[in-house]
Amino acid sequence: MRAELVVAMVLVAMVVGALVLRWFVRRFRRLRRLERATVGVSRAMDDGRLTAATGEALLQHLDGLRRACSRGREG
Amino acid sequence: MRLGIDAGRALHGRGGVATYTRELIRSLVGSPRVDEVILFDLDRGWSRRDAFEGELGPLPTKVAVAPLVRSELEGLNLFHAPGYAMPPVGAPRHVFTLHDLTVLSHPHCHTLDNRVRSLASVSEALVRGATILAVSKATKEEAVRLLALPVDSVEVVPPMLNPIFRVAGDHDADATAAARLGVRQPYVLAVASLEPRKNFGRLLDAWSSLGVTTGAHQLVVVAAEGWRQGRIRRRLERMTGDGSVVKIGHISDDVLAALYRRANAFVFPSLAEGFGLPVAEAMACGTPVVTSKISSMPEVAADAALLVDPEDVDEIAAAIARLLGDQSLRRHLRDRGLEQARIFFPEALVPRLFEVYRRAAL
Repeated sequence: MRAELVVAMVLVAMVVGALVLRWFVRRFRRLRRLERATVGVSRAMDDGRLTAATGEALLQHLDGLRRACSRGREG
Repeated sequence: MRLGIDAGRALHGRGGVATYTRELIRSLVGSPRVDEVILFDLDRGWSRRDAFEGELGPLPTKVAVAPLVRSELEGLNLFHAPGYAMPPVGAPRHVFTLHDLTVLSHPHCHTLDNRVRSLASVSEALVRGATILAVSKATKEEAVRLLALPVDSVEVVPPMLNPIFRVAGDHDADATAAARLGVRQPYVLAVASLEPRKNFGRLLDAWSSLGVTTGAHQLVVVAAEGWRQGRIRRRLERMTGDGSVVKIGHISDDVLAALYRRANAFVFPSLAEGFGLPVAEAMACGTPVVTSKISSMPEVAADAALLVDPEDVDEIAAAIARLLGDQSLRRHLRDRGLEQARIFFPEALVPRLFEVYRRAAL
């Protein structure tokens, strides 16, 4: 009985661990993608490929989304 | 012209972007103005030719399928990205289709993954100097407003309709297709993926409030799976149980065309659209339409539909009741819809698309 309880607890811990890991991996990927986009926009503004107005608008949207991703909050 | 296209969404996607991509490829493949079309799959790196043929039908010899490698991309004149993804290395020129900016205007209607993928790919397209091709004037205006893009930097070419969406169908075949799905006449049709932006909650409220006004009509909902709609899905199941609603999942275009043709009305009270392809499909099939008076929908429907405030349940219900109770209005909207839908068929749009390609390739 006790052995079965331990096995069940280990299984539950593994499932919870996998879900938490998945949450962190997805969060990391989103943030990395946004970071790359932000760097690309900043460089394009510096060398004149993007106008200041468009660059600023994109950076503002990217930053808002980065904050939403850091919180891990949908919507 | 040697043209590359990201065709991955035509294989792996459902919904508007996948339909757009399929019809884009079909139209380009049929045009003598393109010497060679190279299909790429940006989602998976490479897909087999027979997978594309399974989805698009037999492809002529001028269509090749290539892996996503530098040598293939650099040999192109132009790369068209219709699926919110840019190739990792450079073709000389790019055209990027902007389907909508609802990830910015209606963020609460999207998942974080959607928002990140869309915004990152739009940013990348702009950084790499791609020509932005909006699917409607409304989407162009949104891009100008939200991204501060110069007005003349955004082109507009609407999505092309599959010619299978036409008013003349085989009556017996249509009846058989509908019967197989458990759909009986008369009915009102709604087509959209299950996601918050499509406003299914208010549509179901409106339908429930109509009660006996709808007579023997059923509400037939064709809805591919979307996201964050567990409550709506459960409600649809309950209403299916009491017989007032028929819920159908993803179906092929020919079966969908049959359902449009047999419907007494089509209702699409979406909160925001880049274009609103089902509105054009319904009009092309001669089905009178009720849709929203905001976003791109008035532009697509023009005066060929009843336009309603999508946040006003009573207004949606009143428009449905009015349409079901007035045969002459239905006939009028049907005729106007058929006329309006003509501008969305490939013969009208392919020349406009090539003009965009020509300017982008300069």
